[in-house]
Amino acid sequence: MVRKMGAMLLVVLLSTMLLSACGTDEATSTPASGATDSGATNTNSSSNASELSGEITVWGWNVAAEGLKATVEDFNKKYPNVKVNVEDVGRLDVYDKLTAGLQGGGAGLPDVVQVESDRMDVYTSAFPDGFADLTDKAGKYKDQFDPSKWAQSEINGKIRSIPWDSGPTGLWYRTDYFEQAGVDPKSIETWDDLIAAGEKINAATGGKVKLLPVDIVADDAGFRMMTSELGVCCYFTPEGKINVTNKESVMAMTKLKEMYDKGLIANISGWDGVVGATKNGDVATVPFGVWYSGTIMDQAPDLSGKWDVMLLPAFEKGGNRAANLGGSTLAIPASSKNIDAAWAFVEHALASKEGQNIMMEKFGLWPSFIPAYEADLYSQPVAYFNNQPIWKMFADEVSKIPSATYTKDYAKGQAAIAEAQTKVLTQGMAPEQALKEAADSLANQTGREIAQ
Amino acid sequence: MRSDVVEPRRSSGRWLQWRRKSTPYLFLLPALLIFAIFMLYPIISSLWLSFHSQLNPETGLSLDNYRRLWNDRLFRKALINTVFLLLYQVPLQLSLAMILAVLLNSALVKFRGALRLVYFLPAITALFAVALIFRLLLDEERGLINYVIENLGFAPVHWMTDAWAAKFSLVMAITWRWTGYNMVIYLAGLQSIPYDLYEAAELDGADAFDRFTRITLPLMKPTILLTTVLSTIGTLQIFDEPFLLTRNGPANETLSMATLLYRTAFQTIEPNYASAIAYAMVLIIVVFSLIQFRVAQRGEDS
Amino acid sequence: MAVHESSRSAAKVQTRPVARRNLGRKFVLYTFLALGSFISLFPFYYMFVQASQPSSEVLRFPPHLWFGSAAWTNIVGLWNNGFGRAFLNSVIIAFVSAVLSVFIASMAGYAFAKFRFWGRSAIFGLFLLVLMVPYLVTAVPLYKMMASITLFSKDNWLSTYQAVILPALANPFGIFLMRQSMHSLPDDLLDAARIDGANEWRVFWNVALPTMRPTLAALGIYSFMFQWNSFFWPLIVMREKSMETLPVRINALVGMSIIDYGQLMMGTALTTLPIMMIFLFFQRQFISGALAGAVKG
Repeated sequence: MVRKMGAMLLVVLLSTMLLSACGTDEATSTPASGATDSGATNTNSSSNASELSGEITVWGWNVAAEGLKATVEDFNKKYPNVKVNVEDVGRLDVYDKLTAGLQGGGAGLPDVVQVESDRMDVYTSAFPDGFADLTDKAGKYKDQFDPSKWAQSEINGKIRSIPWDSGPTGLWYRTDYFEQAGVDPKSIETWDDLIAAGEKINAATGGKVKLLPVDIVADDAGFRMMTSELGVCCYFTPEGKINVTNKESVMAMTKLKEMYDKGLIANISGWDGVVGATKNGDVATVPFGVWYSGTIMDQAPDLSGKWDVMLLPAFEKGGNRAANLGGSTLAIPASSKNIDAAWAFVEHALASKEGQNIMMEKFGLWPSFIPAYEADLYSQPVAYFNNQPIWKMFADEVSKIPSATYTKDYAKGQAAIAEAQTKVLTQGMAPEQALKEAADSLANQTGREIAQ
Repeated sequence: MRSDVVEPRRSSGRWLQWRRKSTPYLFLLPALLIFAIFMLYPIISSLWLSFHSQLNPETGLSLDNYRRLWNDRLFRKALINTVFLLLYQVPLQLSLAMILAVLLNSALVKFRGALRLVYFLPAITALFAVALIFRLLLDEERGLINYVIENLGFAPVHWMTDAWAAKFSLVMAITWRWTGYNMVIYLAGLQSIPYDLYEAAELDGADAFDRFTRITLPLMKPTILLTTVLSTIGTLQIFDEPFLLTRNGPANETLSMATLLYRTAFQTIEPNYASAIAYAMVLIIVVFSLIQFRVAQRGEDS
Repeated sequence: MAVHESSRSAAKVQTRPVARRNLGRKFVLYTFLALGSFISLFPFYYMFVQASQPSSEVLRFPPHLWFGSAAWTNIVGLWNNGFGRAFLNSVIIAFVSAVLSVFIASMAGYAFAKFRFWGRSAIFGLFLLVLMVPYLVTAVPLYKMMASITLFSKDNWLSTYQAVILPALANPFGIFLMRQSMHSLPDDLLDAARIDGANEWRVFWNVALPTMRPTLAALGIYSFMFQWNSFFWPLIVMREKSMETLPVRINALVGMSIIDYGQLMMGTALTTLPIMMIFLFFQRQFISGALAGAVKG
């Protein structure tokens, strides 16, 4: 009896669900397609532009996808006959699909795809001709892009992607927690200062608020920011040797260990974990790239005015505080049937002031396109962030970021360091030892030599 | 199996005989076609790939990938993790299933059907859902389980960052999902054992434990063997739980052979090497299954 | 079915001698079974509780243990995220797979059980051997194949229903299951039909299949469930949003800019619910499906 009633109840639930679905589905399908036709009726002057037509699909994730969506309206004013579909595909899903697609000779891939700059080498070495050669189209912009980013896009003399955003880092922090603990953010210059501040905040909030979130098991973002600051990012020397046992890497790992041992690290899991800790107020600071500003504003609108940002602390007083984390490029798979339209879209989004700055203003995607910095917004205060002109700080930081090395074995390096980080933080292994094991493991997997 | 011997009345002449002979093949045809195209072909093509060196692709056919695999410490770690999981996960899950089945089979129990249903329910749930729910329950900072543990006055458990706790989380999730399935199989097996046997043994003065070891276990042997082999294959191929729940961590302590295969194929993009990992797995699975059959046979002989 | 009957009769015989035993044992027994039921059911309860919370409350500490008020909001949010289309896709794929795989597996099982022919055990062995190959490794070759097939399609087979349905059809488990139950079919019955002049197809279709109904139902339900829950292959091969299945769509919510936990949990709950419902309606078939491979073999 009970069983049958349960089943009946489920049927009723499900059928109401289905019925309501039919109702809402129609209503929502219209704006999705409507948004992109906005410029369709515009009779455009440029004959070249209106000749381009067709439909292109773009894959990105998170705020990056949102940012690209925001450029479509202006793009369609120039190119009324190109219909752009920006799809927000999860980050790991983009990579899974991209890998399968490139192995399948490019079938099923979109016309434009977001790839993180540091991952680009993994793809271009596995699929040398997987992405369209943009040398002829993009060559003219070379001098207008951040040189360190441009270098990552040029592979064997050919341009395979266009730099999109850079990830100058900052320490995002909660002004209210600092105030509560009586810590003056301006007084923080070194990581040791920050740790001391973290302890005060932790004590002032009854142990509820930790200093910063780390995805101990799976992500080494903290380590990467610190080694970037110290100029030894990422895992390999420019000559291709394994470079994780140097004293800078040991310093970075030791600093993380100190924070963990003092109970200042909130151990979270996955991207959703970082976001959760941010909006729930579990942490007083989040060290991340400038792109995190978009997520904070987006996810925690109620915390407006309570977030601010400073440069990452240095390892010693007066030391370098500029670093990079993340940042993406846009690439065009060689299989795209509409490379010209895809290029037009990329050009508009990344190689124009309007395109870059609309993404910057709304989503904190920091342009690699230098002329974009001329805009006013870089000197203006941002209401959400304590009404501070936070963009100015990043603008000054960009030129000071030490150069980094990216290789096709980047993903392996990341996994090896995440493993070392877990051993150091949770198993009490000495940083030197864990990093040495990571180096050995990388040597075993890649056949590379270990740098002395 | 006499059907092919019987001569239908009309069957005379070579054509009819050919037709009779071809009948089973015609019945097999759809399955064979789909099997050959969508399973055999991809398997052969990836096997072929595994014999082409990942690091030196120009060398043609070679054992390079397998040689590399032999020395690959990460693979060794994945193998050890997986076998380790096998060694405590399969006995735990199967003995738990057996205990539940025996209890349910007891005449004392009412609502047998409903309970069977309840225990079976986890087996029908999508793995991504299981992983998501367990991730919420086991969250170190905000999970319900740690909340309960803390309220009982104990220190919270680092479910995802402590090696043993993470392994235990994995075992919990797998056991939760599969115990009921195996229990249903055992229960049916138990119910097919004639009750007279137990009655006779009871008259001879055998206690419940004796009855279980002398009657139940021997008669259930084929069923136990089958569930053991199925669980072994399942565990050696385990992917979803370590991928979604523990994410191979901490420090690769829950990296399984299949998640390493995924990482190699899709993240570090070494398809040829990934294929070699897959066929090493097949070999290991075959060896384990053979061992289990052998052990069972030896038991039969003695 | 057979299992039920025997259990009931066994229980009746058993009742008398055991009934005298003390109540304490009964208490221990029920406590244990109740604890087991709680462990079994609680995660489902927790899933539904979380599905009814607004996004901000899902990760609240201490966690909620009773239903929230945002169930409807979450459902509406899901529909706006393409849940309806994904639901439809999942239903189509799972249903068509169920029907076709029953058809194909029963034909193959019939051949294996009722005919003796050259290569029989070799072919059967091959089917079973494939169970040992990790499916992840076939994903890339299979993808390449789908990308190159242009038959019956304007472009290729990526993002098509058949790309998800076809590879799962030659299901070794299904063939094994059908072979086992076809074994129990008396040959005399088939021969009688042959003598009456029925051709082989009619013998199969009109005589053999109708007696197999319970097993066919079991297999159909299992195929449905397999496709309904299937995640990795649809993720890889369904390139277009409009073709995504439920698990793929819901998983995509995790990677989106605005992670709505309430929606995520509601999506998970709504993916689990139909399968639970089918389970409650067809529990006999589910259970006999679990058994067919094991006990009768």
